[in-house]
Amino acid sequence: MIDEILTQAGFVREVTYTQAVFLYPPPQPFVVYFDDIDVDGSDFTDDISEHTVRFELYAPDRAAPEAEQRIGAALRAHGVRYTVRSRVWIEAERYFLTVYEFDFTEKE
Amino acid sequence: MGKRIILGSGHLYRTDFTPGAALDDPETYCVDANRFSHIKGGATLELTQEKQQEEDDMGLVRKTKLNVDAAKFTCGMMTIEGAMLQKVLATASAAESIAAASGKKAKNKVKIGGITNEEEATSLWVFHHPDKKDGDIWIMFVGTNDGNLSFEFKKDGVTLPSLEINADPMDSEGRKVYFYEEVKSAAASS
Repeated sequence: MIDEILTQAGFVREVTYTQAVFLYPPPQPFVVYFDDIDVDGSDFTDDISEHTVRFELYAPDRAAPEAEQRIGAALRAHGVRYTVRSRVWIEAERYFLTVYEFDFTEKE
Repeated sequence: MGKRIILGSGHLYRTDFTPGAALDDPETYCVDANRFSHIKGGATLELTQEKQQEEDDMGLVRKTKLNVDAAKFTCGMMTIEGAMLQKVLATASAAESIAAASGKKAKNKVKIGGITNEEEATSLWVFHHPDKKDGDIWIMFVGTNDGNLSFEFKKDGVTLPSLEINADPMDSEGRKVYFYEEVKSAAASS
């Protein structure tokens, strides 16, 4: 689901999006995501995964709105209910940061 | 005495049962072919006894009589398929296979509802609670599902229809539940 959303939004794994951290961030807008998983199932199986996901979109000044639009469109296309936090400026990094949060459940 | 701790859930098995038929050892029924759903949230066996008590005004004599005894088994079913509906719904038909054709997917069809379609087979149920330390437990009873079935199609979670079986008398003594526990002492193996 995460790969599908970010790929549809025009991001490329390990180029413009990755999990947890980019040691060498790309110059263009990029996403770092976090995926907390609670594994559940019947009393004897673990075949349900409940994901709590956080996208962090880092974008230089002018690219932020356009990248936000792409992510929003991809999330909506997947029927995901999400929360988007207000864009904030990180002075030290010279990036805008926009955070998206959502949950989804999948079965093995 | 009294050292057994019951901790954990179990597996549910079901097979057709003809009233009056002889009952076998519970392990006989605990085979994959009889496996009925995967339980979530554990299972509950509720044994109810309602007694009528009469006492004289001075509290000198009292008599108690059992008026109602009942056994109810409940659990949540995490896995369910169309073919199982006939076993837990009085009006559900047997599953009918429909082959794939003209770009349409293969399906199983179950027809549900219509009071005149009531035809519910009696089932024999065995709930097997595995316990490597204190020994397994098997609960065997006969009955049909008396509860409602709710299917929820939720975006963020699984559906968990509940099963509610009020045990019927299943032998000539009118017993409703057979409770078996594994005996792990040395005497049992001799």
